[in-house]
Amino acid sequence: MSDEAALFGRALGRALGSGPPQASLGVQRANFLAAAHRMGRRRSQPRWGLAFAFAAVCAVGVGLFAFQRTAEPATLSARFNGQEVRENAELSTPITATKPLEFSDGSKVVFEPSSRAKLSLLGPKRAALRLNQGRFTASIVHHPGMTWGVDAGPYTVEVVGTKFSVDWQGGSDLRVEVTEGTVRVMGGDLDRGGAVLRAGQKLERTMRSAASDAAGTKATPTEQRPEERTAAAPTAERAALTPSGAREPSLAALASAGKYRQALELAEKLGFERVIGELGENDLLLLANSARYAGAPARARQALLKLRDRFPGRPAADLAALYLARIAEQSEHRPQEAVRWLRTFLSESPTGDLAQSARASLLSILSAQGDTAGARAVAEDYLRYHPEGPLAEQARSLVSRTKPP
Amino acid sequence: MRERRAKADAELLERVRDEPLQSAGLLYARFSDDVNRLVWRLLGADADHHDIVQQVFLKILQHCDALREPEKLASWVQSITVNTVYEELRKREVRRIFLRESQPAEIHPSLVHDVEVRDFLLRAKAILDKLPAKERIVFALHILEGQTLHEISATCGYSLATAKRRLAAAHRRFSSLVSHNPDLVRLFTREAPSASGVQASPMAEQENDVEIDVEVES
Repeated sequence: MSDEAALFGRALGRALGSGPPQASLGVQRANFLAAAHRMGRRRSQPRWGLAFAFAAVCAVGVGLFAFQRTAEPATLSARFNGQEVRENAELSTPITATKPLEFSDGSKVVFEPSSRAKLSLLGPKRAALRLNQGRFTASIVHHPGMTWGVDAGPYTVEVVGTKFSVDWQGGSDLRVEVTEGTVRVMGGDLDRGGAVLRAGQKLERTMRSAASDAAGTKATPTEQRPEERTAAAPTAERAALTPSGAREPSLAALASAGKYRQALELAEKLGFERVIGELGENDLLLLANSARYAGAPARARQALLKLRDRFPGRPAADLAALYLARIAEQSEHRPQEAVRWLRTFLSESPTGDLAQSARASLLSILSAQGDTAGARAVAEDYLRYHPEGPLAEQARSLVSRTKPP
Repeated sequence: MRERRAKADAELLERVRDEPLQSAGLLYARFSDDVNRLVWRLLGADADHHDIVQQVFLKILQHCDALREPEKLASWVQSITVNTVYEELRKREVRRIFLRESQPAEIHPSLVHDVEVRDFLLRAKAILDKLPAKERIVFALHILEGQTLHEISATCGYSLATAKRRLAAAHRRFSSLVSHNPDLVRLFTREAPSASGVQASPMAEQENDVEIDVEVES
């Protein structure tokens, strides 16, 4: 094995770990068992001759009936964070932790921090949640005759059996993302038939979207109609990134294929300023990262700043703050600037996935600068949000050593 | 020990053949760790991980009658897993070639806790995605699972010569690909990022080795 391949393998192995989180395996198991039962039914269908057909159909029918009787969640129950809950139970999560809502049929909903919801219906044929605020990820096991619904503000998400997430910030933005199966979103300012989302698609609605639709103003990516948002066809933004009349790959295709330098060159050829003014949220992040990887931190910085300017409040804009901190610290050697961006990131995403690593970086920079008070404040934050984090011991030590007399 | 396990596997297979639905849970309990690990590492924390694992287990249930040596259930499960991953990679290759799809590499949402780990994984996946499916499988079994050529040939059902040829081809292609990504080489030639999101990358390295020995003001 070449040294390079061996090192690559070692690094990749460490980055990957030995498998998905154990917490996700419960749902995986439930889905497999449900699929096995479905497959079992199919395998029991008749194969030989009409003489057996009737009997076989009867057997399948009886089997199906029996299966439905057992599979039907006639006694569907739910446990929130390990405690049994009943219909109309109010559910809420603290600002620092996620909490699971687990159903007896294997379906599971995981609420993110600072979420509030109500288990509005828990019946034999339907279960429903009302999300008042926050976000959850759901994995619903399909059972014949059972339906699931989620109400978020004026919207309703209808589910059969799927994996999806809903984000509703109490009266403002709705975000539904489907990773498996199909859901239909209805209500609010959507058309009567609603919007059907399939795996890999997402729907974003904001209060601005209704206003802009009504006013007939030009839609921004977050303000497009759901059909436009969920379509996989190239958008005008993406088309703008392909040299006109040429059969060359688009900027996004180049960046996705790891051709970062070529992606950056194409952006320069098309006019970098124009491109960053036209790209969609994710493609703009892709371009910024291409510039980072191609060794052009100034261009990366420019793209990230534009991203924050054009898409404030969006997840990519939050992430951009973190990348700006990295550039400031590693490429530009401006620790104060890095601190500023890390603080910005943490103020926007205090409990997000990347907050722990951002706090660790902030703690490190402030410590290196000898900013005792600043480091202590971050250490306290670290302990509040990540009491079990890898730096918890060091943070505790710092807090105790710097405790005012 | 190995014999005891082989015997237990043979008994499990017997039960699965007799009562597939009732034994599905036992089958999952026995092989969940192995299948999850192999799929996770061969596909690189793929966003479709759980679907692929489900396909593996359903195939085991469907085809377990075909296994002639019950005591070899574990290696047969490994082969089914590798074949399922291979089929998935082939499907993606076909989509790329015929539908000209150029989907960015995606990683499982549970592995995004550190931005540098995510960066590294996405870039590593972009490299692996460029290897033909057969070469990628052989390469991943070798560099990630540490399998020898003999083990690879047994797992993939290749002759030793074929396994050797594919591995050599994968290495050549890999070297060529990384030669165009010197910064990626720098990433993996220093301390590797970790899934826990704390070591590795310049900033994350600091997270573990962070020096927070600030002077205490008196």
